[in-house]
Amino acid sequence: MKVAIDGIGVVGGFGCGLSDMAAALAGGRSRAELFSMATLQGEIRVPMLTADTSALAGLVDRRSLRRTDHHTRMALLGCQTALSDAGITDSLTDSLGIIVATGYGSTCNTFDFQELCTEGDIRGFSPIQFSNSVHNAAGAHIAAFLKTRGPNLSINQFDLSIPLAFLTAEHWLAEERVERVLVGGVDDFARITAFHRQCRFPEDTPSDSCPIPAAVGEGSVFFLLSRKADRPSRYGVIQEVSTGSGHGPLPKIASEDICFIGADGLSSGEAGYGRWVSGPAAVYGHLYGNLPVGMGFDIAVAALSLQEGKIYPSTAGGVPLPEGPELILEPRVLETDRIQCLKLGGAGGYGRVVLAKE
Amino acid sequence: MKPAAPVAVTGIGCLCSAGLTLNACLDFLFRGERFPVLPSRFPADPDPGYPVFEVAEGFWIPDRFRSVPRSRTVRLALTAAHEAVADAKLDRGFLKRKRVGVCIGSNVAGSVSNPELFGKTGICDSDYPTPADRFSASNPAVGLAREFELSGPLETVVTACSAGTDAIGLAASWIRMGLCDMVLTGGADELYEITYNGFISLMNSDDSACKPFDADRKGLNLGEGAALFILESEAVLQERGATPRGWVLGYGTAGDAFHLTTPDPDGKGLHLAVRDALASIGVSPSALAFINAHGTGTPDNDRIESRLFDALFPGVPFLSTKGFTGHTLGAAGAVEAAFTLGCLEQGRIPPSAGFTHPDPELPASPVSRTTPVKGHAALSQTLAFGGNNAALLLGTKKVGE
Repeated sequence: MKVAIDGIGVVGGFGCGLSDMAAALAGGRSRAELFSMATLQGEIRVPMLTADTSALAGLVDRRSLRRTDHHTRMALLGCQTALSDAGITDSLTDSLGIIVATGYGSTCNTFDFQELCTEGDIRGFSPIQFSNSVHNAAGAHIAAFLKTRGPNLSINQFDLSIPLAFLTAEHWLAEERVERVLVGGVDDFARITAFHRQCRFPEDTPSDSCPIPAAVGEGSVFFLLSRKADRPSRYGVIQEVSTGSGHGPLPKIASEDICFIGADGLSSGEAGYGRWVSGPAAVYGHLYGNLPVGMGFDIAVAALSLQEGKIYPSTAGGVPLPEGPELILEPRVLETDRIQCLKLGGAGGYGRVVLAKE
Repeated sequence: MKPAAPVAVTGIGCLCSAGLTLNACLDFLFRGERFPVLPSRFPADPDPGYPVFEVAEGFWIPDRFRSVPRSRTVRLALTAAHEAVADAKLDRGFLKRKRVGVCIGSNVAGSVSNPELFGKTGICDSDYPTPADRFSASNPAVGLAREFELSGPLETVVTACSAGTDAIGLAASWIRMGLCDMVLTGGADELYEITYNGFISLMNSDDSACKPFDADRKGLNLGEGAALFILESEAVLQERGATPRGWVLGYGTAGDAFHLTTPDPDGKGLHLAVRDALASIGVSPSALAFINAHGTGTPDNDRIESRLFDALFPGVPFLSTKGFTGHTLGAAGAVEAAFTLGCLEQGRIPPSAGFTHPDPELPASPVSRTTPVKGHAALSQTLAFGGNNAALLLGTKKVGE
């Protein structure tokens, strides 16, 4: 079964919406900033790409956002933008499913909350904060805002959360459990992710030759999907989704296929791309930074490329480009009918989403 | 929704405070015993104390396993998986040769707030240099795949208290869609102080043993545990000549779209989930042998479920097993699905622990003594934080047999 992409919403360090994303891609820019943080080993400075959710105030009742955190607001903005992109302004029925992928959940909120526990101050526990630290909080808020009682799933599988979310979306549509699915991912910048980056890459600090190295990112990316109908699909179709643990055979990437590689300079699976991909490939890690649901942005870029008939150039922007694939470094016309998006996770796991023109 | 083919269950493993195997748990339930105690593994204010249901120390037997996970949740999951694999008469070589996925529900494992992962942002230890590394090491799907060298998709479902139910429903889809030959599915969660104190902050905890559906109910007791199921495709069943122990007959899931922590008083989301679970294979409500309710012991939850049972399933016996196990959160849906199949096999259900005084506000009450049941299908349902509702229709026979 083919799945149509009817709308896309993106929020990240590049801005909000496909037009901001396209502008960032065309300009090859990264506007990462440095985040300072005290640790037991002294102060560290970590490049970060953060997302601004102020646009959400114009889309929903501001008072209704009082009990939401930044994580949920990014997710809500991604969803609202995807629905607007699909031209949906009326209320949605219960036949809409919601699937939220996240690598770490609401890390900022959870850490603020955890500190109270470490200090033994359980009287300081806020029930609202505790509730928002549960990993399906974003999905619950989205359903409440959209007033839809359809299936609502939250997935937490690190770098491979996105392909798993697409897999379930495909199944729900095939089972006719829903008519449409709002599927995507969200992750926020937090001290835990900043410290993780510093520990993994202690030498990769700002310098004269590389003032902004690979950045820790945050953001959300959502897609409105439906069963492929007779009407034309705006961004092509999802042709295939596959994922596995890495203990078995890996899927073949045809050498003629263009492959968008989920390298962001920091992910645990970076070294494997060269063994898999020998054909033309592009890397957009500079666009969104290092975050577990980054593959969702690659899928959004692929959909945009299929719509526009062109491939945006890979841009380093501080991201070390993997060796092996034939990297696309200049803009070019898209001459094939499909684009593969590949993400390698830790311990050899993989996720692949193939988009195609109709 | 399209009709859905039943998916075979060939092995079950379960441990919780009631016992370290499924049979031990069922024996415990039918004895009508329960032993909630104050938490022993983390500090808890004894005044007032909120009892919990802990898994007995010594459950982890390292000699059974190749891997040595630090995470208690992964250890719980592996222990349940060990029983499920043995129950299905499978060996590791066979699992390695087939495309076997893992789909498991959890809360703690999907949380950066795990205390083992926190508070050491300045310390690098040699095994897990950062909190994020330790976080990934506590993922139960990865832990199971590593132990059994499984090649299929790995997924951790984090829909709070309905995660175990959702995981089994999704795993059944993986089999039907031809994605996997087999799936190791279920749920696992450990007790930890964040959820313990969080529920206290929500004023949802009972300071005595919980009393689901009782007039004097005050809230829940937390628990911990794991339950794992082996689901198999028809092709693998035939290849092995295996006899299914049960079937996943249907699955439904729906959101409340109401509130983050309070269920919709009208239970509309729960109605939708139950409707889909039954509709997927066309089972009528009256054909159910019994219902294993979510039954947390919180006033709102039990009221909504009682009204649903009265409206949709008049006369069908129901119970909550949380009075025996506490609320095992992400594991609850799987632990209770295991109990559901076990009770169907025995043709009886235990008393709903903690229920002694019927609540005049509730239109339907659970069983108060061991009750024989007829039929081969039963419903197991969960309600969760965030308004997630999920229901599984489970059977010891395919419909029509």
